[in-house]
Amino acid sequence: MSIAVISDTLASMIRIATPLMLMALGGLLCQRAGVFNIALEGFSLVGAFAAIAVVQFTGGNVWAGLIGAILVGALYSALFALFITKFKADNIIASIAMNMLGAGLTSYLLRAMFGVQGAYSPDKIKKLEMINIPIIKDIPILKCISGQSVVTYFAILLIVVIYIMLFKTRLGLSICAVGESEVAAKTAGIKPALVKWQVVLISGALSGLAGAYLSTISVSQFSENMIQGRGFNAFTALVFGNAHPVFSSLVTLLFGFADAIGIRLELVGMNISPSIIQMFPFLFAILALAVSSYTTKLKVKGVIGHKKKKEKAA
Amino acid sequence: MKNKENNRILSAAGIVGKQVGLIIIALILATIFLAASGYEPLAIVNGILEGLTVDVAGTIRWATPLVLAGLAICVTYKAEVFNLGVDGQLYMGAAAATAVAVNLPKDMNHLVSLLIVFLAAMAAGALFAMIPALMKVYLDTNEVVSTLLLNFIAALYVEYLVTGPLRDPEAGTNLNASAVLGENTWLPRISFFEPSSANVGFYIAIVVMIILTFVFFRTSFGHEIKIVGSNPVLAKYAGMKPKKTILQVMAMSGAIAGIIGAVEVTAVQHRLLAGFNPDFGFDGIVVSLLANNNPIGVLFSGIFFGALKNGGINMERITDVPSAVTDIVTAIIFITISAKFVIPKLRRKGTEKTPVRQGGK
Repeated sequence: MSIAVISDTLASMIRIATPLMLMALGGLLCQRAGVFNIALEGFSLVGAFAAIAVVQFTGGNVWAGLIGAILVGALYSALFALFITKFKADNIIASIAMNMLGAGLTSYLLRAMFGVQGAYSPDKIKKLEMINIPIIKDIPILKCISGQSVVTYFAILLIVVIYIMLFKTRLGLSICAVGESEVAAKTAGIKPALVKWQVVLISGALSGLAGAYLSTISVSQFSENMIQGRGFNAFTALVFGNAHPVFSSLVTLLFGFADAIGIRLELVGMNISPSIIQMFPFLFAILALAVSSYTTKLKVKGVIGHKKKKEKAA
Repeated sequence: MKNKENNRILSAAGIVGKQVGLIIIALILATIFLAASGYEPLAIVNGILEGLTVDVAGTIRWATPLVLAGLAICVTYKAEVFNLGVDGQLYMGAAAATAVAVNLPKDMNHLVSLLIVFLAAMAAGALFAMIPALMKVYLDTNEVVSTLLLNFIAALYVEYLVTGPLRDPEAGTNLNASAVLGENTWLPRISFFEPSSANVGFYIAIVVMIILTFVFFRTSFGHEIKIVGSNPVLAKYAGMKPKKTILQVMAMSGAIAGIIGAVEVTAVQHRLLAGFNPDFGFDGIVVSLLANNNPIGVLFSGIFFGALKNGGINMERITDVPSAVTDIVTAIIFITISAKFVIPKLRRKGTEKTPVRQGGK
């Protein structure tokens, strides 16, 4: 494999990982606050649709599309927040319902607004230019970081922001407190419902952006069910990354790598069915899930981790 | 004694009343939705009524997979296991059914070959369900996430089969499908409803329903499932094996999902098609929840959702109302049930710490 090929593969890894990273960063806040949010899939589907609709109505403005998707994503997730806080809905069931509603709404609106079925591309779209970073763009291999879209750099910045927010601010502390024990958090004067609203809205906004990335930057169209399990993969990534912003983001990169390698194999002309290649990220996710649940199990049992306890026991 | 009986009837009526209320709310919302986007507002209500009166055949066709999916969900739900992988398991069932059916001799006895095909599908569904079940039992993996991921793997696997090993060599380039199965493996359609694809699968669904009702309410195994679901610690002290029970219910659920796949292949399509499954598994969750996870209730709620689906499709054909509106109705019913249905459970769960962060349990 030549250096150019490696750098190309890494660049596509980053491109593929960007939406996963956005979803995982929002999802991990929910996870920390004790909200089981597998509705990332539905949030981003709605975002993807909103982006294309806004692009259509603003005459091709992708920036407006991205912002519209963030707002609509947050608005849509508010429904989820309402049900899990106010109506004490079961998180899993409400999530699945949100995914189903997202799929139904988008394909309904596709017909109602644009009169098409399956997929829709806006009449005009001014694609965002990719950003080249000086110096880095000339370094072999490392140049994969350059030439990405603005959303990717935003996602990378967001890792830092979420890290600081989660571990260095009051809000982060409240989020973790609610996740650990709602009762204890309440005694400390934290409003669990308010915290849950905040994390769900953030995850809705970020998932909306992730969807917009897929529909306006990766391609220039919305198609039914275009998220294709990326939300579930992002969720697996944050579970595997222990809901830590840095680790979870690194895991999304790994998922992106699994995908990018598949695409590369296809380009090279290896005789593998594309369906099998599309399975790669899912197979990888299953493996990651198995490993992370097993290590958690061992931790709970005290086999690994908790050094002090083990020494005492000995 | 009589008083008790009356109370029971009253409370059952209360539950049914609530569910009907939910359906009405969802339908009103959908009607507003249709009106707001300039379609015929009563389209979906008319569609359902038509499905229950004029076009019963179409309703039966869709109710068959939905009832079975609801049954597959309610088996595991009693044990507090969430099998979101019915979609994947039914894909695997369909794949196994096709693989076996195309290889059976064409002059084999009809009943015997059907039996072999269905057994293969059930085995494949159950085996595929064993992956998340074993992961749950031995690695403490949350079955919700693993089954969701496995659904995609199964769907892609079927896509691989029909574009590769099982592809019909005579099919056009645009059609990704297996060869048409030999007629001795076709599940008969109900002759009364010809030419619709309402089929004998509906009777199979009823038989499965009766078996499950018997298992749940009349056997010690059914009792065990309920105890494992409501109180695993007690179950352990009582000498039950919760792990074994989880594996058993997942296998049952997967086998039922396999039947759906086999019915779709042998009675409706007569061949394996990529992406033939419009998420029956997820609809099955609503079917089961609306029926309060009661097998007998599943039959009725499955028929309702069958009528809804059929009504949506008919409406799309006659008027230009998008059939996706039925998904919206289903989702609204879904989310409203989720609100109601956790309230009695909350008190029990509120006291214990839910370790969500640890492996997403």
